[in-house]
Amino acid sequence: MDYDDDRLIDFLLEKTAGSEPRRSRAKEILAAAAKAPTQRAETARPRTRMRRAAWFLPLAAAASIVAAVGIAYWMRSASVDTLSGKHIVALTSPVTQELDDYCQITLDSNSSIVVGGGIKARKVLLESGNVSCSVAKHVGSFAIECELGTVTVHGTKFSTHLNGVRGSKGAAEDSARSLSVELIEGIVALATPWGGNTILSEEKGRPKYGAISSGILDDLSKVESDPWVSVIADDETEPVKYSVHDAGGQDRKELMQSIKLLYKRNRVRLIWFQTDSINLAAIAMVEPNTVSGSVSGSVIRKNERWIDIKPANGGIVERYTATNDIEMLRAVKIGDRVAIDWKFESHCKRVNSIRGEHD
Amino acid sequence: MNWYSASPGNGEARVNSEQLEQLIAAHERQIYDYLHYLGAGKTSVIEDLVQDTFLAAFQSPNAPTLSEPTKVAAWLRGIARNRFLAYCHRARTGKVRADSASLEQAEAAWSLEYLRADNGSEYLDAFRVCLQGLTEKQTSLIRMYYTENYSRKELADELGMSDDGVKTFLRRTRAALAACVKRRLSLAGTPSGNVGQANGL
Repeated sequence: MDYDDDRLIDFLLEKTAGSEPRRSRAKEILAAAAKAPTQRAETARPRTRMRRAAWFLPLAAAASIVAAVGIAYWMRSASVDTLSGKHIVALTSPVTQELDDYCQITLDSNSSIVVGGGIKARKVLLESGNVSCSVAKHVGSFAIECELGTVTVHGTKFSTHLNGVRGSKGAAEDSARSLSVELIEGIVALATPWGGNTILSEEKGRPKYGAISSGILDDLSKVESDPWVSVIADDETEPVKYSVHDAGGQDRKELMQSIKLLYKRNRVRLIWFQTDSINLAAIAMVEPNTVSGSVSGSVIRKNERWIDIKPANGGIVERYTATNDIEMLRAVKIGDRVAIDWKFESHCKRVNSIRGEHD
Repeated sequence: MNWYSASPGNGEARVNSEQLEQLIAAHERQIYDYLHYLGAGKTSVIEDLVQDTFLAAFQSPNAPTLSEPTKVAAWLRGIARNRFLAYCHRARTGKVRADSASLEQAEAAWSLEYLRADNGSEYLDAFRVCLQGLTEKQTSLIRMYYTENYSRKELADELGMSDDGVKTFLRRTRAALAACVKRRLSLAGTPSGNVGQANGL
């Protein structure tokens, strides 16, 4: 072992981190000294739990977030505009609607939109479901808006799909939505409320892209040669792997910076695009609105350091990480119903206390 | 108070039971830290070595004048080093490897760099301030590694980094802390130095 500065700091970090409390051996030493000078006192060494050092406690937990989702102002209408404000719903069969002679939209069943904007400057609010659009070139502007982003087009064909559920509280952390856009021809751009503007064009070979408002970062790799993230969207059950497109340049650099800030189990939002594989365009951590709370529900996944809980009230699955004491999760089994008090600390929701619940 | 009892005629000095109790009260904590720093590892091993150290001190015929705490502390550290070395020889298969030369190096670093004139409190204060200057990522990783006892492999898996990447990150963080502590100590050492203004990291 080298006893250099590194070792000294290493020792101090271990010491400051608390580890096991020290127990004075004074009594045993004195007893041994009184008996036989060379005999070591037999002592019991009770193991005590690790204590968290005080300097770690006030970490993390900066305020809350999540973008106030901006929908609005598409209702700019001209005096002869008879379409603005029109609510179109497709229930059991598709519905097609012409807009100002330059665009045609088709709603799949179980979809709804509100037409806005003005003549030759249409904006459509996608409330739910899937719409396909065909827009003539060089006539006017056209955009589809939803709470997850805005798709802007200038002469193209594409379809947009919005799905997911909104939690009862209406807070962003309780909502789970995802948006996907499939390009048929031309060019479209997607902008999200939390930033990022992705261009989708045939030339770039990006036929499909989308956004996820919230999901759990199930796994990730920050290795420069092959970075990727695997995310379970809140309205899905299986993780999807998103690679970092190896095009180089500033975009990749920025993306790598974003990924480096992430930890497993973070709640994240992201924008993706699909070529041969599914690629990441932007990603960021989503922090909860409050720094502590409670939840009760069923354990649907676990390992020794965390458990995933599906709330009893039907909310989205969240991951809760053990604090220093990983023993507290040991007895928990998949399928158990539990109630948890959590605290957001060091990038994730940590279990303050856990108790079993019975039907 | 009679700090040590000299055996008349042969020049040897031994520690009696009362003095041993006082020695333990005054130095046990620091000897514990010292053995921890040397790399004794497990709490139980350190406790055993602390015990051995004081028993050996009790048996030693060559105790220094106990009214000089600095000399006494150095003497106890010498015993602790020898006990630790013996332990390393016994536990050859263990992770801890130490030899006389490296332990001398350890003693130099401990007494000159860490203890200084105030039993390490100045160094420890500077270290605590520097900890506050770590980035969120550094703090988080330090916490996971040192407090939550994640292994490097677990950390690598958790953070999507390579094992070497975690190792390098931790080493760089420790190096940044060491540099910060040195800066603060050198500032504190100058007559006009203002430790409070030293921008840690």
